[in-house]
Amino acid sequence: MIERKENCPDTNLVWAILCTVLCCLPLGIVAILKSTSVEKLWNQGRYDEAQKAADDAKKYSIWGAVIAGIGIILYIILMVFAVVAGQM
Amino acid sequence: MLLLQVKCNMRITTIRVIIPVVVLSIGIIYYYLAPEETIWSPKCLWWLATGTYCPSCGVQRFLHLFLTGRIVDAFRVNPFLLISLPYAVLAVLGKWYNINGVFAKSNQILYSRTVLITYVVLFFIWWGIRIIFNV
Repeated sequence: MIERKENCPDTNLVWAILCTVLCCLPLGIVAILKSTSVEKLWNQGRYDEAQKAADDAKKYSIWGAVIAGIGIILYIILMVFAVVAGQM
Repeated sequence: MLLLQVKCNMRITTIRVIIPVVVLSIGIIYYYLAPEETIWSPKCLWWLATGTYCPSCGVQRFLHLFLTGRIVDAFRVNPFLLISLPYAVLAVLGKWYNINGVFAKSNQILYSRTVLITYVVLFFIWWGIRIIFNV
């Protein structure tokens, strides 16, 4: 029990905050809410739920970054097409 | 166990090197790139989909104005960045540069439930303001 308490999972809050600031998607907020619940759940002894919340926080942050990344790539591809089409 | 510790330390060292490189690269790009004057500056997905600003819209314009010394104009683009940017910077410093616990105090504040909930509430208030007043 004590050993587990010492190993509270990483809340992944940094990724969640960076997601809200840089990826401008509400998924970052969901990630923040998930990461805030990690420590609370851990302190209540709900270790599996705490681990799941930490994993979810990471998952939503990654999804936010991936969606933003895809959007940026698609935008640049569209602009390249627009420029090429404009030169024809 | 020792191998795991070494691996973990190597990962942290790598991240500590990558972060300044990324920040410097972004800084150089947005020093020269004025988002309003080029088609190559990516647009926010939320803005493209809805035509309204999201809470972070304007971060590219902010970076360009800030890096070219127009600091007041930069924060006029998106005043919420006055809160969210220092918060993000402190979060990064606190996670990967907390050498000898130098950011222990700020981490305590940053990670407190009250501060986080306040941040989320402010995020939504600012979002609402942007949608209603189109600012």
